[in-house]
Parts: sequence; structure tokens; C-alpha cells
Amino acid sequence: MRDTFRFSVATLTYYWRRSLLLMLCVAMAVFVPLTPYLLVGRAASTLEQRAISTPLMLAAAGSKTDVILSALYFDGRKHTLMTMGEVMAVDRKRAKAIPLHMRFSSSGTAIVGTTEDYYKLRALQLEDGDFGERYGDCVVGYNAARRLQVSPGDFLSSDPKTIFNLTADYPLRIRVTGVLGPSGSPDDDVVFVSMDTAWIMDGIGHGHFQQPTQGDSPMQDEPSHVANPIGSATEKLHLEITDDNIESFHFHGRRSDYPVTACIIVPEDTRAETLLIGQYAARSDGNVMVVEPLRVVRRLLASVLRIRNLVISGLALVTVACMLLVVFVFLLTFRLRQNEFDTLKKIGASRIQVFGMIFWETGLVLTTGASLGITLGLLTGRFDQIILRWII
Amino acid sequence: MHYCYPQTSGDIGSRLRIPEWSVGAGECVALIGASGSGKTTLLQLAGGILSVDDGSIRVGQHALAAMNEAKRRQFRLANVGFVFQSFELLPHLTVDANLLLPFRLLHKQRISTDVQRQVDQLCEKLGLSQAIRKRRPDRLSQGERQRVAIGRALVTQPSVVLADEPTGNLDPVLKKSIVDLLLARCRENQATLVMATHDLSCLDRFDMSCETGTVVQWEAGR
Repeated sequence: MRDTFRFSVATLTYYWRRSLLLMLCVAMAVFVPLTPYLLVGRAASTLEQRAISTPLMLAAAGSKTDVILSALYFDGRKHTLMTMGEVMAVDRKRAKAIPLHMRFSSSGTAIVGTTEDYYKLRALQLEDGDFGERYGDCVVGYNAARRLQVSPGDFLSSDPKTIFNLTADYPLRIRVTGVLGPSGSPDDDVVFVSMDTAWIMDGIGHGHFQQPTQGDSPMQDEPSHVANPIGSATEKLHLEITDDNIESFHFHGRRSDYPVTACIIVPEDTRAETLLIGQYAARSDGNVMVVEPLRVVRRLLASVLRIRNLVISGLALVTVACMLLVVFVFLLTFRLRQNEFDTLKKIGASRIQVFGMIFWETGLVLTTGASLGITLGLLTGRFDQIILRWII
Repeated sequence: MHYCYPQTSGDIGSRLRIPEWSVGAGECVALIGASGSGKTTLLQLAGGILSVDDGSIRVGQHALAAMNEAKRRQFRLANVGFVFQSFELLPHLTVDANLLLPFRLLHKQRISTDVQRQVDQLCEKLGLSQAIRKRRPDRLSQGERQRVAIGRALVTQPSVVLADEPTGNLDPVLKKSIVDLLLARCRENQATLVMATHDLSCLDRFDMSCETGTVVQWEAGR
């Protein structure tokens, strides 16, 4: 058996171009259906994992899919805002409420306003710097930091919503105080700020050189200079929050009226979860809805996986066709080499020995090709983010 | 003995009959005759590649007609060396690997130092240098290829060497040297040589020559 194997290796080496082509052919036949299978499977698993770690989501009534894609994966789609009052109304004995504000971006990277509880929920760790405590501080996700080329101590500017109305949503310069470690989730691709900073970007809070009128104080719930909530044209607004001007920053209106995109609800237990779902389902005003992210994601994935299975079935047929072609090439090759086999038989080789050589040759090409295809498929699955980014 | 050729469509088939023919041990016999006179068939019957349909063939103590294919194969590997007109070396093996092929097919996993010494001596006698022995057949001249083919036939020191027009593809100068080489090696090993040839100029170097017409009779039908 060792000799027949040795003969086969010698033959494959001698006809190396043919062997290499056949191996690549087999590798591609394995790689092509395997890769989308692995990539979609991995993406589905990642999506599902994130949904699993987000028990409930509270948002303004509307499309559940839009809320999930926006608040869970920060895909940038717009959803009707709700008020902070809804977040404050969540029964604290039953659940923890983590508000999310997603209206702004910096150089195209989403700025997410949230609280410290969000970092704990997602188990996000700092790679460098700290979380920052002041208005205008931000923590940048791992990929976002590399894309924006920032590190602690650098500054980012929020993108203006409109270039024609300078009084609305004016750009705010925010200070990078920390960079998060890689989490392999959408958190890597965004900039996190506190809810207060997000509201300052909204224009609800601001600081100006002119002293605020009597009664203004940071975080007050009562409205002040209501007639001109964002400051008059004569008042010069601060575009950056510093230690020197932080005292001049103040908020207008009731905190319960401040806008919030969505709110993650982390119930204490299953009973609390059921009660919360029931509570919101029974509400008659229909202003807000409670979404179970896992259910929405699974419904989305069901469609994706059906399409994946359809695509893979098609690709499997291509693989079968490719393998049949490989077999055909082998048969043709063996026919062309009939003289060699006849010589072996004339010298004294048994039929088993000749079949052994054919077996090893075919087996080596198929196993090497298939191994190459599987390895390439696994590598593609391993570096899916890089590859997908490169392709897209 | 009788041998029936495989029947093809539209052909009534033909039968080869040899009433009696013998070659003495250690004799070198030239087998001459026109193309299609049955020289190759006779050699293949004697080597056990083809089996007789009726009658008997005896090589030394071995009765080939009584053997099945597996036994004839073993017999061939151990006792018969074949030299073919078109050399029939395996293109993907080096000269050394081609020479050792019969040993490998005999399931001698490890080539002993004795065998290796034997091969080295044979190569020396055949004029196959170390450089040539590392090459593959496609990098050899016609003469070198036929010397390798002779080496492969003689490497197991067979008692019978059957050569089927081994000089058919060679130029006149090479023809002479190859025939001399083959005769010399067979005589040295005391092996019986039966060589089919169209080259009448070399007949005087053989112990005897035999015309297939005097040995073989043809009959129509099966």
C-alpha cells in the first residue's frame, strides 16, 4: 500500500498542473457553498446573541424591526422619538431602564447617548482612558477609534443636522476620554456620550457667554427663558464644553420631556418581564410599545436563513456539477494513461495494485482540494468582518 | 496449444495453434516473421500475459496453462523480464524508480542493500550513470531509454527474458549495441532470451533463430 501511495504521489507531482487544477476545482466546489453558509451562520449567531442580551426594548409605537435595527445594531435608521418620561415611568422595582439617544453622528459615525448601565449590560471594557464624567466627554468604540483616528485627549465634532439653520443642532466639540476594547459587536463602531451630552447636542442644554437669567441652573426641571430656549442671536453659544465654561451649561424644559430614541429594559426576573409586557400591552394610549428583540431578530433571521438555504441549495448543485466534471476529467485521464496501466499489468502488477494507485491519486486530489476549500472557508468565516468590509 | 483471439463485431475470429515448440534453458533465440505472424502473441503466451485456451505451456517447472491470473502474475514478476519496442517506461518515475518497479510490485517494501548493490552493478554494465538514474524518461535519449527498459527486465535476474522488437525504434548503430547488451547480460545471467525482431542482420549473434511460420499455424474461427 505504501508503494502504491508513493507511485500516486509521484504521478500527481509529474502531472502537477493537472493535479493543481483539479485540487483548486475541488477546493472551489467546497469553498463556494461553505463560505456563505458559515458567514450567514456567524452573522445570524452574532445578531441573535445581541438580541438575547437585550431582554426588552421600549420605544415609541412604530415598526418593531426599525427600532431593533436602530437601537440594537445602530444602523442609523430613523424612528419616532419618545420622551424621557416613559423611561422614568418604568417600574424600578421590576426592571432597570437604560435610555438610548441616537440622533447625531461624528464624521458619519453614530453618536449614542446612554448611561453607565449600558456599559455594564454589554460588559464593555475600556482599552484606554476612562469613561469621563463631564458634559461633552465621549468614549469611542474600538473600530470607530481606528476609523476616526482618535485616542483619549483628542476631540470629535458632532455633524450638523443642517447647514442652513445654524441655530438648530449646532455642532458640539466633544472630548475623547476613553477607547473601548474590541467586543465584536456594533458597539465597536459608535461613539458613546452621556444622555446629558446628547441633549446638549439636541440644543436642550447649552452654555453661553451671557450669564443665564435668574432661575437657570444645570439640570433644572422648570423651564427658564422660555421665549428663546436656544439663546438669542446676541447670545454667543459655546461650541465646546471646557472646565472654564461648564458652569454656564444649563438645560431647558422638563427632563421628562427630553427626547429618547429607545430604552433597554432589563427585568429583574421572568415574572417581572411578563408583568412589564402585560402592563405595556394593556396601555390604551398606544404611544409606546415594548419589543422583545429576540423574537423580532428570529423573525428577521428566519427570512434570511430561508434565502441562505435556497442559495446554498443552488450552490450545492453547482458543487455536484463541478465534482462530476472532476470525475469526468479523472476518467479521461485514466483512459489516456491506459498504456501505463497496461505496462504495469504486463510487468506483473495486480489489478488491486493498479486500482490502488488510481484510488490514492483520486483520493489525494479530492481530500487535498476539499481540505483547502474547508480551510479557506473557515478562514473566511474567521475574518468575516474584514472580508465583508473589503467586499462592501 | 491453442489461443483464440478475442472476437470483434463483424469478425469471425482467428485461432493460433502451436503444435510444439521448445527453447532450451539459457539459449538465446531470435524470433522472426512478418508483422501479424504471431510473434508478440507467442511472447505474451510464454510470459503468462495471455492464457492458452487449450494445450499447455511450460516454462522450466512452471505449467502456465494450469495457473490462474494471479499466479501467472507472480510467476511473471519472479521469472520473466519483458523488454518492449516502445520501452514502456513509466513517465512519472525516475530511472531508478523504473528499475526498481518489479521489486516494488513484488511487495518488497524495503529495497535491501544487496538488491541496491545488484542494481548499481547492473546500471554500471548498462552504462547508466548516477546522473541518468535521477532523471525521468522524458529527459533521456532513445538509447538510454531502451537501456533502462533492459535494466528493468533484468533487475530481478529472471530465468527468461522476452523482448518484443526492442530495437524497432532505434537507429542502426544503437540497434547493434542494444542487441549486444541484451545478449551479453542474458548470457551472463544464464537467462533464456527470446527476442522478436525484423532485423535480420543481428541473427548471427543468437544461438538460433526461428521463423514464426514454422512454429505457428493459423486457423479461422474460434
